[in-house]
Amino acid sequence: MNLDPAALFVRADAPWQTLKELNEHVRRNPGTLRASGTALGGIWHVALAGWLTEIGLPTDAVRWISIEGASPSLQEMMAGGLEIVSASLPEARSLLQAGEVRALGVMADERLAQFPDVPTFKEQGVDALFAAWRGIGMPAGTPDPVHERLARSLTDVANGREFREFMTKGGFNWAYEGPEEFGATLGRLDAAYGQLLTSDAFSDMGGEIVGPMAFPAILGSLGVVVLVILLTTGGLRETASSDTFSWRGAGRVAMILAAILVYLLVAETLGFVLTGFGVLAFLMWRLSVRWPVALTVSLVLILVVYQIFAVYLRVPLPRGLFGW
Amino acid sequence: MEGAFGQAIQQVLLSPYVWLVVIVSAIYGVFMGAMPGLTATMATALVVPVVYFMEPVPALAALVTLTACAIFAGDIPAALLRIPGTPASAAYTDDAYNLTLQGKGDRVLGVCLLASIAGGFFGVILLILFAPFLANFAARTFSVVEYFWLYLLGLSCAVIVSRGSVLRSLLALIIGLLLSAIGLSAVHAEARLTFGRPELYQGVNFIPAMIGLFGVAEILRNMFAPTLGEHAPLATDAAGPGERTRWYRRATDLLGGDVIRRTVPFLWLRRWHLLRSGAIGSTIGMLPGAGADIASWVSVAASKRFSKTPDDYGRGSLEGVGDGAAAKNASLASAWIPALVFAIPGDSITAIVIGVLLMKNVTPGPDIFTTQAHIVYSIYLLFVVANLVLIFAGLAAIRAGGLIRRTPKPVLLPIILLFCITGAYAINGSYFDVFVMGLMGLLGLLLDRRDVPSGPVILGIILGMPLEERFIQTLSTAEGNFLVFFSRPVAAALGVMAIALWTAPAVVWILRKRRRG
Repeated sequence: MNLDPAALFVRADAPWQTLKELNEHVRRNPGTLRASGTALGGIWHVALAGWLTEIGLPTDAVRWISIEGASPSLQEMMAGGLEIVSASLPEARSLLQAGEVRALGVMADERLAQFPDVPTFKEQGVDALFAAWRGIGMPAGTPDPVHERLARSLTDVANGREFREFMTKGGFNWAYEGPEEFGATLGRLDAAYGQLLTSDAFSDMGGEIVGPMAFPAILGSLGVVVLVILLTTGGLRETASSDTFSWRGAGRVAMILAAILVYLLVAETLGFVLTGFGVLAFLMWRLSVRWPVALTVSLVLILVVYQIFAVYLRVPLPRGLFGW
Repeated sequence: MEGAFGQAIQQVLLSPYVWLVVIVSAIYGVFMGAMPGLTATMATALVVPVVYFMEPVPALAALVTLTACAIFAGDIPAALLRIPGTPASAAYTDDAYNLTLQGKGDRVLGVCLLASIAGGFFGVILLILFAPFLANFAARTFSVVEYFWLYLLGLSCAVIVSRGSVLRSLLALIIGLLLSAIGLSAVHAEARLTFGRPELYQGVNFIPAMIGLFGVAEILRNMFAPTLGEHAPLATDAAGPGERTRWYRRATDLLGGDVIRRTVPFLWLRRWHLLRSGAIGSTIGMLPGAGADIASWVSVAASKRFSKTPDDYGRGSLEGVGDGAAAKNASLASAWIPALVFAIPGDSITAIVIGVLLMKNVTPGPDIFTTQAHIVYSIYLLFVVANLVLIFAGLAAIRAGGLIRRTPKPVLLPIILLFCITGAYAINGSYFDVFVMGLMGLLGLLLDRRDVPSGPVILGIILGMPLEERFIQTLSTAEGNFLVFFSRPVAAALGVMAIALWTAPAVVWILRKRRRG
């Protein structure tokens, strides 16, 4: 539905005016500049690696800092934590207009209509073409009629005037491929990116400075230390103010937890209204509310909640057998 | 300029449609915020599809009013049932609830309401006067290092403000941090602690966790008592009836005039503290990576540090309640600062706002103040209107809140449970979230039995993953050199503050001992 080419951004006060100057700088000082735009191995990282490969440098000649998302990366660059951001043009539109960042080039065949001032990589002698596809997928094994109907509707949406206008306004690049075409494209990209992703910059992805289990391990041991101190000093004794244990109380706790479980198990088949009504009325009855009160309150409440959430706010509450 | 402002007045104040939207959003916001199990974040998420189809000004009106009202209304169940409606209210829930038990329910909620509004106005004034300047400050000074320290500071504050021993709060915090470590972080290539469950890949969603830890846990706590009694009795209020009141007084009292009359003198005495809370709240709010929750915890911690009665905090401190409430609402308006100037969202709500603006062909950026000035003025006006409407909506909600206490518990608790289930499910349409909610409810009950506070758990869940990510990002920008944590002035200052927060009590203790010895 949408295809946004990658672009490289630097701060407005950065010394590099053109892509060539940046190429030269990276060539002379490999490994000193820092870039981001998405998490490790994301599409903008792949694009950056592709650019480096294209100018004949190893893919880790610019260090990638894993920051989730283009917007936080751009802000990080403004704050001086990064030198380069790789992302799509619309993601940086406001900052471009504000004159805070400069786009050195976009990895597309031609300049984008919404950003005529941003030169392509090709114009500057670098043959890098990278872009993020945004498409819609369904789980494997989706029944054919569902698949066909959705594909047809999406084609209509994509070719509609409203969608095109919206994309243009937002600075996004309109693109459309049908199911077969898009499938082929994905296969092609899979092969191409696979090659890049096995290069140096990505090969040590498992060996970060601080591994994934370091933080939980430190926390876990700290937790054990605190727990031991608390247990030995009696800091975790039940307080005098808390209620004494009673089997009746424990039974009621179990009943509430069971009610949640029952809801989880039957809501999908019976639907929200029946399940909710049943749980409410049962709990009130067990808590010795008189049954006419319990039934009336439950009925009124469940209908009001259904009306507000499912009808007005369109929350997809469990539908069940009867559609409600 | 004159023209743009006139246009804004026309679009906001003179449009019956906008007023209608404001009133409906206020009612909706207060309801969603005040209902245990339904949250402010969810209230916003659910109106997005509706808002996308509105014109820009009504759409903004809906979002501005709704968030201001819902964030305040989160205090109502906190004070009445000990179930905070938002993580921000969790910073002073125990205080508010205990004060209600002492018979000061109206006063607590009055303080919450007026302090929220005062904070809200403080944030708007900053937004109006200094938006471009502040946006530059926030965007240029806060890199990953500063965020790391800020998050650490926020977490430390959560330990400090909680009632009882520091060790128990620390234990709660560690539980929260461990829960947040579940799933895939932005800085690692593989997910961890998922136990093979694909649902855990995304980690523990904080909204169902919060609903469980506070809402379900409170239901379970009530169930666990040997007898499922009435609501805890209230001590009679000191300012009892008996004095003869004039008819106009009685009339305004019906609208909540008495709440205001009893609250204003207290807040006037605390005006400088409120100013500090507003400043803390809006400073934290304007940072793209921090919002109302951190703002309120830090503000309550600052309030406790400067208080003459720090021992009351966590047990029933009206001062803490006021300072927390002011900070959380102050953060709302200032979150719009980076959003309007640089299209960098200050929180999840302004992220939606940017989407709405783009859709209506309004591009945020410094130019917006000149080319689309009428939109900017409209936003200013809407914030003022929203805070004014909040006075009436809030008072009405406080009055209606009395209903909660009059409903017998055997009827009330199952109803709350239904809202908890619906709320936990609605945010992502996931049964797994409902399951998480149930587990968290049980955890909350166990913690409560051992007098371990739940507040730090939820803040740990929210901030744990970002804290770790900022830590690793900081280290990787400096290739593993630890000195980087103090390499920038603001980072160094925040770092010293965070460390001082932990070491100051020990240092003071040693100094005192020396002087005596």
